Amino acid sequence: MVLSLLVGAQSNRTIQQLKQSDAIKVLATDLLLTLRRAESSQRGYLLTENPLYLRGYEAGLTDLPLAMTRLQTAVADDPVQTATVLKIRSRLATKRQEMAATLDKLESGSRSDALAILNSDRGFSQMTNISTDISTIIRVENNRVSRLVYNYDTIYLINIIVLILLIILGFVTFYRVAGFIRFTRSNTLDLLQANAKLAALVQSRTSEIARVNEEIQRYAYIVGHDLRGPLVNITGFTAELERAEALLARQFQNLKASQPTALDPDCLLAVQEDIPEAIRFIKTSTAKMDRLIEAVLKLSREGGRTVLAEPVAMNALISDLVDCQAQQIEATGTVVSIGVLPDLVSDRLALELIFGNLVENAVKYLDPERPGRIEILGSVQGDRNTYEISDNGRGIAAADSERVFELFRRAGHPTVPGEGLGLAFVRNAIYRLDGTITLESIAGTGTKFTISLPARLDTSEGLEAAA
Amino acid sequence: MNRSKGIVLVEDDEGHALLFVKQLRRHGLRNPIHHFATGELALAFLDTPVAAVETPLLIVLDINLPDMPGTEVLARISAHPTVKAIPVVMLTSSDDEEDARLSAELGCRHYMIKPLHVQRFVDICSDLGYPLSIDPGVAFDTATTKPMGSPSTDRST
Repeated sequence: MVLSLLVGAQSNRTIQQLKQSDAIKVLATDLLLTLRRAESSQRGYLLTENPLYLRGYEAGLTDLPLAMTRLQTAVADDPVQTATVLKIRSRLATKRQEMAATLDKLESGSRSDALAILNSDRGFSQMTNISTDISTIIRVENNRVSRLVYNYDTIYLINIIVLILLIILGFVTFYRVAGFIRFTRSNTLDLLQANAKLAALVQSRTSEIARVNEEIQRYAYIVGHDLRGPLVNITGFTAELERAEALLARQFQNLKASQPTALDPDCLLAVQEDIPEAIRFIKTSTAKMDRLIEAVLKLSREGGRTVLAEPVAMNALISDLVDCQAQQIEATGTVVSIGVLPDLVSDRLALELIFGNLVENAVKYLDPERPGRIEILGSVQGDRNTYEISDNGRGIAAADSERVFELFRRAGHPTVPGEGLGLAFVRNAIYRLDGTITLESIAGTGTKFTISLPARLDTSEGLEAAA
Repeated sequence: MNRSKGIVLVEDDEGHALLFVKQLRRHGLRNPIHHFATGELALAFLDTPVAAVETPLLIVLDINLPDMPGTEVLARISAHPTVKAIPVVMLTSSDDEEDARLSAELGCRHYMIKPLHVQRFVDICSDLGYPLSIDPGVAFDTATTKPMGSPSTDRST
């Protein structure tokens, strides 16, 4: 750009110089013509003595100094031309003297003397010299013009080149920008495509999980139901056996009283002790199996239940759940403190199951060696709420901290009754509410369960289907 | 209780059926019990003139049958011209709310969870207008022939 401006300024100067050269040439030619007019008038007068020629001569002499001055001014910038002009000036003076001398001779009546001066080489050679000088001036100017034109052409060329360069630069820039835009756009498209693929993948995985979950639930339900059938028979016919056995035992008892010797003592032992013992074990086991099957069915039913999000006042909910354990809490002198708990929009039944089990566990597994303390605290972390239930109970060994959440697994407290279902239910329910549960515990010191739940349960998206 | 009128039992598990019958007999129920292992067999029986004339007192229907869901049998009984008035008691193998809801929807208010507890049956019967009374100790009573629960004033055959 700057270059282009410079080139522009340069061409302006060139045009000025061209004009100047033209003016010099015109002035030089003008000078020569004026001189020639004066000379030819002088010669005409000498030949004819016609005063008309004399007037032409005098007019020429009057014009000459002006033409001379103009030329001198015009070439003032150029020392070489000025030197030539000065040379012309001195030759011109000599020429004027020669012309004046001839006319003087004519005035004084000596026509032959005047013609003699004319015939001498003086005037002619002067004229030739001036003519040559003028030619030199014109040649110099011509040279200057061609040089300027050449320069101008160069400048023009440079201008064109600059223009071409600018155009190329423009194209390159455009190409680069277009390329960048294309690149960005294709990247954006790729990103969008990747996003769409990812979304589709998540969708398909979610529905896959939902399908698998549904299958597991149906499976659990069928297994539960189908196990129940045989169990009913085992229970029922065990009761039949027990009843028959009671009849037999009574019969044997009577027999023993009436005919003691007729009775095989082993047989009496079998009927009075072995069979009832076996039946007792069968009954205990079937009862337990019944509870386990019921738990599996309950879990599958809970999983199949539609979760409903509703506002739940957590302090009220926890207080009610603690009240359910009031008898046990009072009996053991346990202190339960409940902090200010943030409320939830979530499934009430699931929350009751979760916190009910945790409170019950806290009470159930207190250490009888020291007064119990249970603390329930809550806090808000962004769009999730955290609840902590800590106790100073027996605690859970680190090795068992994951096991306790599994179905039918219990961490070594054989003295406390239970099926090992509670925490499995709790974790299942928490997952259904899009939550997490972790536990920190030191065996013999206490346990802290930390539950994180979304403040507002979103029942709209895949969660529901996945659960 | 009208002793001549039968009780229809639809139950595919032989053991369950046997335990049911034995318990009721032991508690003095004398009415004939017609046992069918499938829904089709039971419905075929209910279509016979015998069933139409000697309308059964009660239909005890297992909800899980091999040929069709118990609820479908229930629906077909409810739509049947001659036997639709017979009360139906559903048998379920677990305390399933869904089963109970479905049965109630089809007009069955009574269901029993296996294994059968005689007291539950007696309660249902009295609710349906068939007064029964049982002796809880009867299960271990040798004198099982003693009629229990059926008022002696009942019309007999």
